[in-house]
Amino acid sequence: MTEARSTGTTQDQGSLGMLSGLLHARFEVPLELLTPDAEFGTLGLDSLSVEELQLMISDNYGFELWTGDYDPGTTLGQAAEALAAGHGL
Amino acid sequence: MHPFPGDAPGPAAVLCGFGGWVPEREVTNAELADRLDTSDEWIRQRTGITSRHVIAPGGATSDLAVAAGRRALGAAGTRTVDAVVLATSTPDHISPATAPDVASRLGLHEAAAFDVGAVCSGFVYGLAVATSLIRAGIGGSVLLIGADTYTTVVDPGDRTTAILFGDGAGAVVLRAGAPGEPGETGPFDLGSDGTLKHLILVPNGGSRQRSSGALPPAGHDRSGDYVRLNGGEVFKHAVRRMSGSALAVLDLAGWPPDKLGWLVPHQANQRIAAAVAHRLGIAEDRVLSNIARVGNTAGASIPLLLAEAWEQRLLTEGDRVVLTAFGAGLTWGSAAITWPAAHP
Repeated sequence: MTEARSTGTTQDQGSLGMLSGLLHARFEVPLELLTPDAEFGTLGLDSLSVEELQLMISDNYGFELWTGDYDPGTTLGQAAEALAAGHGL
Repeated sequence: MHPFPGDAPGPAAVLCGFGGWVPEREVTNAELADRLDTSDEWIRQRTGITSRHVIAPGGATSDLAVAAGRRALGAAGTRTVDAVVLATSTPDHISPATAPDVASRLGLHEAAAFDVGAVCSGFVYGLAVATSLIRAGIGGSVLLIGADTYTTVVDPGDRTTAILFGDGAGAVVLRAGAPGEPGETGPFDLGSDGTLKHLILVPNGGSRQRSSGALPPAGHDRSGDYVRLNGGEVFKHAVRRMSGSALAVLDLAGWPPDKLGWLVPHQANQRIAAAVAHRLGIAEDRVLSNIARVGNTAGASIPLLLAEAWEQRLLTEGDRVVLTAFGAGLTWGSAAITWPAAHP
């Protein structure tokens, strides 16, 4: 269980790669910013970008990343962990 | 299956003329930034809009519809049609419909005339209605106009909506033609979800508010008279519905997305149009856009784009075009058309 909550599992790494790829390709976030500790609020996304990201994640996973309000303090690692676990934040 | 007369191929509906009109007065972002807590940069970055046109005091939707309709009739080289269909959600009055007035002012006396109310999807819905009238043999020609004056229902102090909307009208003429002829309209994909009507709503002015009791006192809170818009939720639904509907109509038409010539999305917001094009895999230079100059003109946005493309001879005869729209209701719809022969 401890391992499953870390950002180091294969599944988490896969989700992190997907998330980073999406943020770079669609929203032009520089690759050097896309680390597990990076918070979404530091990536230069505006509210419409967040909505589009939610939509793209929903297309891929069947659920949105933030089920409540968007939290700019969410890190990429936390997001990847949630996606790998099959639920939103 | 036994053949019967209904199996015989009927006429197709074919586009043969376009016209657009926006009012003279232009309102720039800088002008809005003078009285609202916003900036030119913020508006452009969030919406793609730099200016919009606003109807003169005392003007009405019908004025714009007549101007666009006259230009479309001229472009089609005709002075008569069998029906006038007006897509609008900002009619001149609650009753009657605005289309009969528009028809009369265009000299189209006794033509069938009625409004279609599907808000920003209204032109695509109207195109389906006009196409059906012709295919069914009810009329041989139709003037379809999309016209709206949303600046009349926008709270001038609301920076989220006041920056977005502009006024305008666009019109097309359809005639009976041969199946496969350039300019043919259809197939269509139309849909709605009324459970989300609250996302874009003008609460007051209709029967629910009017039946609720006494008239409000002078100086009452007018917020219910204005359009309310949940931008974030609308963004997601708009992108999902427009791209899904466009894909559905591409499938119905048998057109692979990579063989599509042009995408003509409702000009809700440049960010929505870009997200739709991205999901469909359509390059930005194949997506018509005029939102920078005219803003969101609601039911007028798609025919205004078509009229501009016609005047600029931007498209080539036979080009495959998909129109896709989304609006309050919620409503959405898409149409496959081919571009008609160039005008003389």
